[in-house]
Amino acid sequence: MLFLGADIGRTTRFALVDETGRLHQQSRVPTDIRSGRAFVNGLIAAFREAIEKASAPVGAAGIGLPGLVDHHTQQIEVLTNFLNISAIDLHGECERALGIPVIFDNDANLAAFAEWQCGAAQGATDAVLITLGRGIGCGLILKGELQRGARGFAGEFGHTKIGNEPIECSCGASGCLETVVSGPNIVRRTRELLFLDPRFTHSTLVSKMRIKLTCEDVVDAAKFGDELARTVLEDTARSLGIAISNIINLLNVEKVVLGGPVMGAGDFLLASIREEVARNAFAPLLVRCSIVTGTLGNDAGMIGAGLLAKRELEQAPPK
Amino acid sequence: MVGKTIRQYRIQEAIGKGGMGAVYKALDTQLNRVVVLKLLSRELLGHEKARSRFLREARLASALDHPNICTIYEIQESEGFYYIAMQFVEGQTLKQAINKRPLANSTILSISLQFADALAMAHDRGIIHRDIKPQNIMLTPRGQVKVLDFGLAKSVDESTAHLHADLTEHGKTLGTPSYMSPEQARSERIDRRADIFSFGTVLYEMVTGRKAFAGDNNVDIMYAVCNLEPKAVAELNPNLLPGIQEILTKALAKDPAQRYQNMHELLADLKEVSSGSVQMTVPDGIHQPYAEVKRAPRNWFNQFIPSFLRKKKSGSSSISGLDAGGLTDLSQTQAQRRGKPGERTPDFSLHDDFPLIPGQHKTLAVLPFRNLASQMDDAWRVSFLEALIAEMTKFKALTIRPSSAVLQYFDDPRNATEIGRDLGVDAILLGSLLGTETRLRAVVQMIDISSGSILWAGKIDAEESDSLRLQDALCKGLLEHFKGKKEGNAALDLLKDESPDVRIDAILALKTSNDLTALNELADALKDPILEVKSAAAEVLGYHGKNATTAVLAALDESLGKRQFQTARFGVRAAGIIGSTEFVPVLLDALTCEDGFVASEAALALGKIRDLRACPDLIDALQHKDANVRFAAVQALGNLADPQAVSALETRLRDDSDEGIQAKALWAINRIRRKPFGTSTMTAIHTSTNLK
Ligand SMILES: [Zn+2]
Repeated sequence: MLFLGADIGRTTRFALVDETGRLHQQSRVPTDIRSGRAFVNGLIAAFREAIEKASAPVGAAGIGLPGLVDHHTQQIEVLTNFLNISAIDLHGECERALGIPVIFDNDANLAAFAEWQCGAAQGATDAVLITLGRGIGCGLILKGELQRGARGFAGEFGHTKIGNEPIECSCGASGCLETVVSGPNIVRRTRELLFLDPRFTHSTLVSKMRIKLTCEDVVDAAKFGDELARTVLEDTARSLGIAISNIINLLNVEKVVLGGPVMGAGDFLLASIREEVARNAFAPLLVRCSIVTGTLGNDAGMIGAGLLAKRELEQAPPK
Repeated sequence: MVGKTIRQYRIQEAIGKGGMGAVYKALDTQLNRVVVLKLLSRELLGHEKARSRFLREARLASALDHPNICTIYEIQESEGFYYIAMQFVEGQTLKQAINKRPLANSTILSISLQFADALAMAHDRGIIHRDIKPQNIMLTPRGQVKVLDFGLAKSVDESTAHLHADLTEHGKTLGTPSYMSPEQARSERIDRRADIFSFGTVLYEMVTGRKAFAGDNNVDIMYAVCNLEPKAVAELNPNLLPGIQEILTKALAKDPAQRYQNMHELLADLKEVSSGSVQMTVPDGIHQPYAEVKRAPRNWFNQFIPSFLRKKKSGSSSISGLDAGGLTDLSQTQAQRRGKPGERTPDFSLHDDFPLIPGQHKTLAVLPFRNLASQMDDAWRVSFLEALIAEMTKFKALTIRPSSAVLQYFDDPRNATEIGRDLGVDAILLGSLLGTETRLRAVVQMIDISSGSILWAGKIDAEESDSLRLQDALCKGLLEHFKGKKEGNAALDLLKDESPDVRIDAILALKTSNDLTALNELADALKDPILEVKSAAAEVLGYHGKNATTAVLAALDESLGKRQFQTARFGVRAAGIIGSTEFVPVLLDALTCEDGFVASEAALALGKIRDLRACPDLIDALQHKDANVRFAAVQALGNLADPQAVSALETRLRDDSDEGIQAKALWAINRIRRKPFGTSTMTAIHTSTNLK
């Protein structure tokens, strides 16, 4: 039996996932965000086609969304940095149209589930997975179980406070980790630094900065030793290290798995994060704790969606 | 590489590959001796500044003459890499000698005494090793210790941190952090106490055969270095010498303040241990320990230190009764600052040679000039120093330290303020020499110790037929220079120096100048070809505030007219720092400049000046094709906090192709919405006139 696993972002990526977490028939479609209706119709059409073409029966579908999903009602509370679809019963429409059980979950939860089932956190009973990209995602595994909290919103790590930049966040508060280390804020800080220090006028990023700079550009430039990019990412590592120390101190996890495009900057970023954690976390909690990069990369969301759908189907009481 | 010849060195065999380059055994064909040749590629040493600092430190270290320090013969550059020729030491490394087993007590004492003595001497010269480890300590067959690589480990600070990142990224090991001090592991500033910690880790390994701090990977090891206590040595060595654990505990204290503060203290404790141990064998080649030789001149030197200084430095036990004197001294000083006549305390009058009364007599120390690029030998530099000091005593307003007090700072690498505090003077005159035996240039600075600022700077050229005459000419020139100029003004000459670093120093020296003629010169420095110099000029002009307005306006008019955009960029920046509304018209003009940096800086400057008249133009700039300009306009509108800008900013947040601009727009919108709008702001909007 196969399971549909989907990861919705600016583009929607989906695939059929087998029982071991391997991906088959991967596809991607641009997410239609012209309206809530267009969004829903686009998704359903794409998923239906994938299920029809499947080489084996598809038992259930798992769909990861960049926002808060109420675990009990399966309703979407907020789609962060996205369009408003609160008037649509997305979950109900999907189940009716696809004819199989559908589960929704936060995309970071699904990525965490995947890394725990068959990636970098395999075998750990207490782990946390953090995705660094346009937003900051986080999934928690405690006592060998994915944790969702009272309504399913647990793990909003990006909105924990580090308080060193008076920048207001998409959540309405200020001092959030996300206002420093999210992709757009990495670009913002790179742009600010260019004007603060004239020596950065020589940065390899300057020609891009005139037209359009992306977080990926900064990450790439850092890999090749650009000083401006390095400076920005070292500051990023500092903030992340402080926030991760808080998680470690709070939960005594044994694995911290870091993923997402920002981690593409390479070992120096991971090393800087580790150093900052060593400076801040309470020593005994670091003894059996390792900080590593994820092994599933961008596929983690899809894999996790498929595997979670599989598990929910197995555990659900027969209807 | 083997068989190749570099200058006079014929490479014979590869010995190893260090963190920074390859190491070879080579024959010096000129002197017919075997040497060790280290090759370091230029790239590995990083940018120009890091390279020159590395060379400076290595050359300083090469001057160390101690039987337990491996001699460095030469450091030169050739064919794209640096090479260091050093003494070839036959024998084994301490790492090989330990071979994971505790050493015999007599061996431990012999090695650690020699090793400690070498370190003590280097530290007295201001040289920190930074990379002490058993691999860097050679043992000759006769039992003599030779410490390798003094001054060759790169300093860990901001400017070289990227280099470390590079090295680790490229998979070239930086060596094990097992012997690092916690402050090194954390990349903090280090001093000689870092070496003392590393000494402790090596001693620990000699005593136990095990590393004090171990782990599976560098992160674990660094964690252990910073946080864990090593296992008590008694558990690992049943024949432990009494007293060793105490030395280790103190040397390995995590907090540098809890450690031995210098190697002499540690050496004294080690000797205590060794005198208690009966069968200690002293191998041949152990020399008279350096510490005892040095003691006599130190006490002699102390007599020249004013009493108040001595009180501050040593405990009150040795000089009783000075506490009260010190306090009176302080209150007297304060009284004088308020303009009341104070009475000198008895303690103070005892040392009439060193009256340190603020505002009247200043004490000045002239430090031995450094050889930047000249062939003048040490003897010449000493006699030049003495001649110069003799001449300087002619200034009645100054009390000059005798040469005997300053000679110990010959080529001391510490910075001037540190040495100045050491000497207890108000100011220090330091200089460096460039040129040949007949033609010399001295670049001189006088530095205020309390503020660290440059009081005076000058450059003197002299040309004479022999080196002694040159000395006189230089002295005379310096004195004339010194007499002729008021404080600060001499920096003007250095604004045109060929070295950008000197130009930046000169610009910064003008920060505290009250001389208004300097402002035009500073505005002129905006035209400097080097970006960093321009930036320094903009900053210092900004520091002078509204006084600099006219000069900056003129510079802006000229540079924008002549399309000198690099200059205009920093002129605009200076305008923003000054913050005067007089700049608004020209900045609005600059905002439409075809050069993106000029337009961006103009937007930022308008944001700093906070004149709401600029709002409509800044809103227009949100459509600029250059993303840098759009970003700067968003920032400026956030600073201005004009509610009129909100809807245009919301468009940026939604539609801008650059995610950084979106993030900044979110900031700006939130900032404007949060701002309580008082009547003054509203009035400003209504009375605003269109300037264009
Ligand atoms: Zn937030």
